[in-house]
Amino acid sequence: MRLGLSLFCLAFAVGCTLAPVSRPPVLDASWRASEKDLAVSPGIGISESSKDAITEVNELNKVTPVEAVPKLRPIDQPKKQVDMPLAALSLLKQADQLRGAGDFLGASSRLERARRIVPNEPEIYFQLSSLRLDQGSLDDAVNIATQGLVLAGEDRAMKRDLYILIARARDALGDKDGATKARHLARAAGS
Amino acid sequence: MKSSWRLLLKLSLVLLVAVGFGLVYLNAYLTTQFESLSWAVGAKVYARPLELYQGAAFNQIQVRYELDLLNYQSVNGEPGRGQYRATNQSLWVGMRGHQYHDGTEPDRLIRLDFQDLTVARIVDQSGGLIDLIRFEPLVLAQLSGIHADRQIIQLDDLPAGFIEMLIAVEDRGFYDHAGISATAIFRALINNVVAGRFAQGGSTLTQQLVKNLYLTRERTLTRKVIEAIYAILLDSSFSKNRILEAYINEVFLGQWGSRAIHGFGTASQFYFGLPIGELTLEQQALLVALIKGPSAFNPRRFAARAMKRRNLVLSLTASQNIIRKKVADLAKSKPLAVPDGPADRIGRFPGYVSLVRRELTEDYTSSQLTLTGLQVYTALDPQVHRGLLEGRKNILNKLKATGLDPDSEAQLGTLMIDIPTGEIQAVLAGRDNRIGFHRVLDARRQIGSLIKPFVVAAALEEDPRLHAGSLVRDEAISITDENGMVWSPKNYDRKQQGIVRLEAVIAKSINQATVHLAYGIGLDSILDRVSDFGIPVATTKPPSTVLGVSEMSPYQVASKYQGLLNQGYVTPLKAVRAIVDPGGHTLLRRPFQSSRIMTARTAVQVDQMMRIGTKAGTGRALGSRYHENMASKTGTTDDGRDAWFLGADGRRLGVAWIGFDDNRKAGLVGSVAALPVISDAFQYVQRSDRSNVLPDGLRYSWLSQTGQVVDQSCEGAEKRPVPVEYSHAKTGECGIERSGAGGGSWLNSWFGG
Repeated sequence: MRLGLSLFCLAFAVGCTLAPVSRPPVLDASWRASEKDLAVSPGIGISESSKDAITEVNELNKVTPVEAVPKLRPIDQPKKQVDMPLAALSLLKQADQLRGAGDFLGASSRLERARRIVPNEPEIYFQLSSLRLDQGSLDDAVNIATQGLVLAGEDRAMKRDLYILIARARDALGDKDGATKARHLARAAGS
Repeated sequence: MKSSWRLLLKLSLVLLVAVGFGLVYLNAYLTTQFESLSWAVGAKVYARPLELYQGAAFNQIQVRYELDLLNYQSVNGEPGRGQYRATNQSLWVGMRGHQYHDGTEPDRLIRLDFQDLTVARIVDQSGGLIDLIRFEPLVLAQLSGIHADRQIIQLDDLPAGFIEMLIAVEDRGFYDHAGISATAIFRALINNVVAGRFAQGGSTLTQQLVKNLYLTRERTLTRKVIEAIYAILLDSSFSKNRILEAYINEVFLGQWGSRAIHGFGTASQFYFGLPIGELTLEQQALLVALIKGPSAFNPRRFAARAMKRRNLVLSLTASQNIIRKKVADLAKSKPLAVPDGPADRIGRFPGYVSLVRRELTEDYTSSQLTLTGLQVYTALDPQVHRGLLEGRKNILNKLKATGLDPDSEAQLGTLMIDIPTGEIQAVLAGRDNRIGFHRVLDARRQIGSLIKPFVVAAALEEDPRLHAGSLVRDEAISITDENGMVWSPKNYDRKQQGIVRLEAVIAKSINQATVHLAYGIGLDSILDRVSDFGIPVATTKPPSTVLGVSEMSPYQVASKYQGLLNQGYVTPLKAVRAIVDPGGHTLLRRPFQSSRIMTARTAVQVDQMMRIGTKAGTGRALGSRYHENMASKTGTTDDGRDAWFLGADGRRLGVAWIGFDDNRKAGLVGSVAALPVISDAFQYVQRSDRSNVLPDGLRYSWLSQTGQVVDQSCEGAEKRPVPVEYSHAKTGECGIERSGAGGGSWLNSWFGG
């Protein structure tokens, strides 16, 4: 079960009937799809009940500072059997800790070591992109996330998360249209 | 009379004061020099560390190859630091620790279990699982001026008893004298009188150090006196240990070409390939023996003499009760065991190291490079390097044997990169290891058919309806330019198919179809796109550009294909991963960046067409040796002046160019002269499959021979990625050829059928 997906379900109050794509578990403290991200531009193809949920979330957002990046709880579900070698997972964990401690350089270095081990794993592109976002390298964040999209294949949940990253980076770049477009795609991927 | 005495006295006083001042000045000068010299270490360049983890694609043979490169010793008992023991399925390794730019790897004993060509498990001594280990990286080079090649060591790094041996042999009174030894001088004097000439110096270690540091090698009395003064000054200013530490790093111990071997740390690597702390007693004795005369006792040239001197060192050491006689006798019975060439790997990677140098000069001034003792971590992969060396050796032999290169003048430039990271793993700059013209970086040669994938990519970007099965004319074509010049490109085999599928333009490298394609879309827009992809296009936009008259270096070719074979995302090529200063601070890390040069949809389609080339086209020899899932492209220029090949598996891209520096007609062909280099190189790494994942906008469909989307059940239908909007088969049709000219393609609309 992916953390992002569970939040998604929570936010939309539709129950977790969507089959989660089997992927490596998301690591502690790296944020995922948030209510705010999924709540923008309601409309296309969303059921009435979902719309209600979105309205509620939008209300919620009014009191949330826009800049605040929601930190998610650590994963509490038992880890599933994963495709990623343990070495890569362990490097992702280290990266996460370093990032939490503000050592972006160290985190980046661990993620790149992990990428040498599993170069086609979109999770690593997700992590690298969100790290670049933290670092303020917004164009890099967009590019890396876009590349992750290509690798994500049929992994819709991953695509959704990557689109949200792109939306955030574009927000920060002042590209409102681009951000809205990315959020639409995020919603399309996640539904 | 009295006044002249007085004058003499005055003069003497003046002289004494002058000498006094002189000595003070000299002392200050020597002290500063000595202080600064101790720290002048060049930048050390490392290969990538071997990283192993559960599931890593390394078999036991490959790991042992790397351990041997790092001069780990194979043992039968429990391995100590720098040793390993091999069993059927496992390796026990006493890992040497290392401080990296991003963490420390401790000294530890580990066991690697292998299964099915991979590392199945890594456990520590107590059986605990280890996620990930990193071996210390191979040293490729030391970059700098004066201290170009020096392994600086501390006294602590020396094996126990080494200093005692050194002092016993070279300077028994070292700890007691004041820089010079009266008894030694007296002894030398007697000997010189007996010999009737100036034959012996009677030098202390301090005098030897002074001589090495500040003085010429001539043997004159004046120099001897200056040496003595300097030695006394040095001894009065610095502790014995400080002097010893300088000595062990300065002493001259050998010469290899232009490379001077200074210091025991360097010599230990040079003669035995080992850290000084891991030397056996007889190896230590040989190094001490060499002090007397590195050329006269050169173990490679004068083995018997070296052996005699080494055994004398052992006897002397035993006679002073530093080692037991029994131990000395055992050591004396051991062979010299010095390999013919340098036992370290320095100087073996000239092509790669000059690439590193070039990357560094972009970020550093030359003085920083020579003086600050930087650690430079690179991506060089020794296994890939070995593969390219093997490929180079084989092809040069073959060219000579087949008469294409009777005078051994053919040149070569080849490199292999890691596609997702853009890291350069190995580079060979020429036919041998001589440092000179760098053919990977600096040779600009016509790329020939290597351009075709980019022409097809340009066409796909221009017209999103196109796919692998779209039909293209393959007929004679003549183009008259504005000056009235006629250009009539020919196909390599001088035949025309009439009509071919788009993928054949790449897979079979068909010239006339390429030109038809370019003109069908519009030469101008094709060349604009090709230029945007980073391929040089002349401002006059000659039509021959689409057949590869552009000139590029193998490095440039690799950098463009990196993007094409990476779903359209370019990552700048790099050799250097990180640079660390002596204080352990990371000065430079080139972070991962990527930018898009073409849509993933285009890149993936072209990628798959290049795989058809490996399966059934010009790259067949690669496909039949390994797997048809690899992507490849050949290139050959007019009169066989250049042979090109590039081949890629799931991780690596290899590019090879073969030709002559004077650009002569050579009869070279890409698939014959260049392909084997890359093919051989892949033999030394574990191949991985290229991804079959499709990006948004593409779907696998079944195409008939005439390029129509048909049902899977149709005879001869082949699976290809097709734009989603054109990917639906019309039910019931199997794409039977209609009136010969191929149906349903975009071709009709442009060529009128």
